[in-house]
Amino acid sequence: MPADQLSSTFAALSDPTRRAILASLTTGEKTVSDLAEPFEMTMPAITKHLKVLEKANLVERSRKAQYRPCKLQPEPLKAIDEWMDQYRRFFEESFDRLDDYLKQIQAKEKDDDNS
Amino acid sequence: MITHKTDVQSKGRKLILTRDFDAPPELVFDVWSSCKHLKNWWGPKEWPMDECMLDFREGGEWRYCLRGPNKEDESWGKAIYQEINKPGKIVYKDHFTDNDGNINEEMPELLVTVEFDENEGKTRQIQTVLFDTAETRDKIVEMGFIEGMSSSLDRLEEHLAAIK
Repeated sequence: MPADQLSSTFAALSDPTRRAILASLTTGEKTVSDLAEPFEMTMPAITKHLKVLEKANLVERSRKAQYRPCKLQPEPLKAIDEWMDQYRRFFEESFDRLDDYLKQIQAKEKDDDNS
Repeated sequence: MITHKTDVQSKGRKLILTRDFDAPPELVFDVWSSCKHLKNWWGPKEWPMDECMLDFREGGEWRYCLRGPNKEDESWGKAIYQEINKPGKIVYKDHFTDNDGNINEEMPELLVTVEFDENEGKTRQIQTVLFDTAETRDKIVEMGFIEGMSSSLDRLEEHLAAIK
């Protein structure tokens, strides 16, 4: 997963309204007016949040119906877990190399002491 | 007893990596503290550190670039040292940056604590990585997002089975 895709996921999740929209979509497709209802927000304000979520590939808006229902796209969230996993592997591989490197420099020190 | 393998534990927002090294803590501390040493081991084999600038003091910065197998594969990072306690502990904040060292504010920052414990001339290195991002993820989980997601995937599966 490229860093720019991840950062757009994080940016999209950084706002409480957008998180609430995503939570609401877990129960199924919703229209913009369905989504706007629990918030004291205008439709254009909700639409603005939806655009951010769409750009981050977290929400898809259907073009089939005129009211264009919103649907959750969970893949970018799984990418966050994968990203953390990459970090773990990063350190594990680095430490394997560190292990070899420490052996190398200690062997060299010994050689230097003996010469 | 841990031998030549990294023990990994995931606790909420924390990732704890424990590893024993057959070297005294002074030496293990040293290999974390200069580019000369770090360039020999920092980063996966396929993504080694290619550039390094390091000012090893509290408040000082370590800027580095990792390069991967393809020409365009590069990743810049910047660590800012929070605490340096020779030879027992190093604490730094790790950030994603561009190649000028400007922090990418949208990416989460990581707080990394590395401790070196002496045991009969050897070192147990305990590294704790605190993910800023996991908090966001936890919030989503708390709100039932992941559960909701998997149950809708279950429903999708049932649906697909039904229409097959």
